[in-house]
Amino acid sequence: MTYFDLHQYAEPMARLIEEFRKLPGIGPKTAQRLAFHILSIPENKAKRLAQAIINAKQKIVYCSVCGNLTDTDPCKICSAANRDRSIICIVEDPRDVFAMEKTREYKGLYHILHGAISPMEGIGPDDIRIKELLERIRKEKIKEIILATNPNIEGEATAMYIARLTKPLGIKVTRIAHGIPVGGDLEYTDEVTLTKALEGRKEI
Amino acid sequence: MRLNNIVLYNFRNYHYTNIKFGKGLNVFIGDNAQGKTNLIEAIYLLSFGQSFKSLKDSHLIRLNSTDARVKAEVEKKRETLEISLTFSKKQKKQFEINNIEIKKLKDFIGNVNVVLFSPDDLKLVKEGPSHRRKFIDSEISQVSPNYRNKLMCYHKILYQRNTLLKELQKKGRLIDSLQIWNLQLADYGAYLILKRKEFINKMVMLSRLIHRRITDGLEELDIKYDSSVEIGNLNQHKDIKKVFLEDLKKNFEEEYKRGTTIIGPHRDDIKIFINGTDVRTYGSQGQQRTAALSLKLAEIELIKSEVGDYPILLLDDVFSELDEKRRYHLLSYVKKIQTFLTTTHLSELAANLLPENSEFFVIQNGSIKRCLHGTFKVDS
Repeated sequence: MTYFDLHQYAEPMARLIEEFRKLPGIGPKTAQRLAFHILSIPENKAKRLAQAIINAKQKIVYCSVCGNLTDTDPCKICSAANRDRSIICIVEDPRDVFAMEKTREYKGLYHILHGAISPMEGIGPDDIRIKELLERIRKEKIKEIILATNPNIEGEATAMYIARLTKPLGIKVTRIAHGIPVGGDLEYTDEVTLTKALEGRKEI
Repeated sequence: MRLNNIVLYNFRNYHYTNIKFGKGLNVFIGDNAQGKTNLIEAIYLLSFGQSFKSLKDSHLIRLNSTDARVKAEVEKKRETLEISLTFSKKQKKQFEINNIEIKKLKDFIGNVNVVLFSPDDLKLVKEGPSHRRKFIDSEISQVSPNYRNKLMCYHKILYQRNTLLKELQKKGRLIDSLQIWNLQLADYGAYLILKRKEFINKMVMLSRLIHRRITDGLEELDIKYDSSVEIGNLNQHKDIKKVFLEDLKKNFEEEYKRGTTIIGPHRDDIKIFINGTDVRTYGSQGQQRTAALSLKLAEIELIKSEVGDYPILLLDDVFSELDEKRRYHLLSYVKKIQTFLTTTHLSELAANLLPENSEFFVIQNGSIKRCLHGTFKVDS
C-alpha cells in the first residue's frame, strides 16, 4: 500500500481529497484534514465556501487597462479619481500590486506584465503585456514609469528591455533600488545584497 | 591550521574510526581499495561540505547504513573548531560548528582551508581549458562569496542567451530582445574577467618564485589570462564591458549560425609559459607536471596571504607521478604545514627526506592503525 491510499475512502470523499491535493502548498495529509473538516461543518457553511469559490472565479477578471485582478472593469485603481495618472509602476504579478499598495506611499497607477522575459521558459517580449504598456504610454499622459520587476536575472532583463523601448519616448524611466532591508543590521546582511547596496549608494 | 583528530562513523568503508593526527606530516600506507582516498575525502569535506569524488551525498554513506558522520577538531590560530557533518539517506545533510547548526552551505565553506593535490591536479596544465577555468573559479570563490554569486548568475544569463540564439533561427522577431541579454552577459562577464585577471596577477608572482626554486633557477614560469574577449590590457570594468559588447556584435553572424555564445569567460583559458613557450603545446610531460606543482604550491601561499594561516595540505597518491627532485621540493613545503599523504609503497618516500616529526599509519580494509614511532610496525 502506498503512503496515501485513496481507495479506502468512499468515492465522494476521495474526490474531495484529490481536489484539495491539487492546490498549491497542500500535501496528502493536509488534504485529508481539510476534507474531514468540510464533512464536519454544517451544510450551509460548506455551501458558502463552494459559492465563494464559484463567485470569485466568475466575477474576477483582468482589468483591461492595467491587467490587475478586479471585479469591475476598469479596476478600482485605474478608475480612482484621486490617483496620480502620470506615473505607472510596472510589476510582474498581481501579488506585487498588493505589496506596493501596502506602502500607502505610492499614489500612481500600475501595469501588470504577467511574467518576465525568459527564453528558457519560452517567454519572449510578445508573451507579456508590453504592447499594452506602450499603447497606454502613447494614449495617456504619462510622465514617469517605475520599473518594479523582481531583482533577479529575468526581472532585470525585462526592466532593461522596457527601458530601452520607453526612453526614446521622452518620459522619465526609473528602476526601484535594491539593498538592505529597513530595520535590518548591516552585520547580518549577506555580501551580495551589501554589494548591490554599495553600488546603488546615493549622496546625502 | 591543524586537524587534531577525526571521527568517522559509517563513512564510506569505515565502520567506526577515531584517530589522532600528528602536527607535521602524516603518512598513510595501504594497498588499493583500503580507504586511503576516503580518509582524504573526509578531510576535504570539512572545508567544502561537498565531495570532490561524487556529486551524490548518499554515496558517502556506508553500505547498508542509513547515515554517516564525520567529526573533527580543527585548531586555528585564534580558536579551536569542533566540526561535525551528518549525511543521511532521509534528510538533508547537516553541518555543525562548535555545536551550532550551520544552515547554509555557503556559510560552512571556508571555515577550514584545505588544499587538495591529487593525480588529476597534475594534469591541470595538460588537460582542456575547462579544468583550468574550474581551478580559478573554485579558488576565487573560496575567498570571495560575491564572485561565486556572480558566476552563478553569469551561467544563468548564458543559458538564457543560448536558448534565445537557438530560438532566433525560428522566430526572427525575437532579435530585439537579444540586446538585453548582451548587456547583462557583458556586465557580469566583465566582472568575472577582471577578478580572474587580478587572481592570475597574484598567482604569477608566487608561482614564479616557487618554480624557480624547483627547477634550480633554470625555468621561468609565466601565466597569462587568455580571454576570448579582446580585452588587451584593460583593467576597468566599464572598459571591458564595452569591448565585450563590441565583440558580441562582431561575432553575431557566427553565434546566430551556431546557436550558442562563443565569447565570454566561459570560453576563456589560462596560458602557461616556461621560458616564453607555451607548456601545454610544447612542454614535456615533466615540465607540465612541474608547472602544475608550482601552481598548486602557489595556491597554498595565496590562501595563507588571504586568510593569515596555512591551509591543511592533502596529497593523495601523487608521489608515484613525481621524480625525486620534485618530491623533495614538495616535501620541503610539508615542513611548514600539516600534511596528509597517502601512498601504496613506502619505497616512494625517500625516508631521509621526511621531516622528523612525521607520523605513520597503516590503512587496511577500513581501519586505520598508528605505527610505532620511527618504524612501520603497527602499534597494538
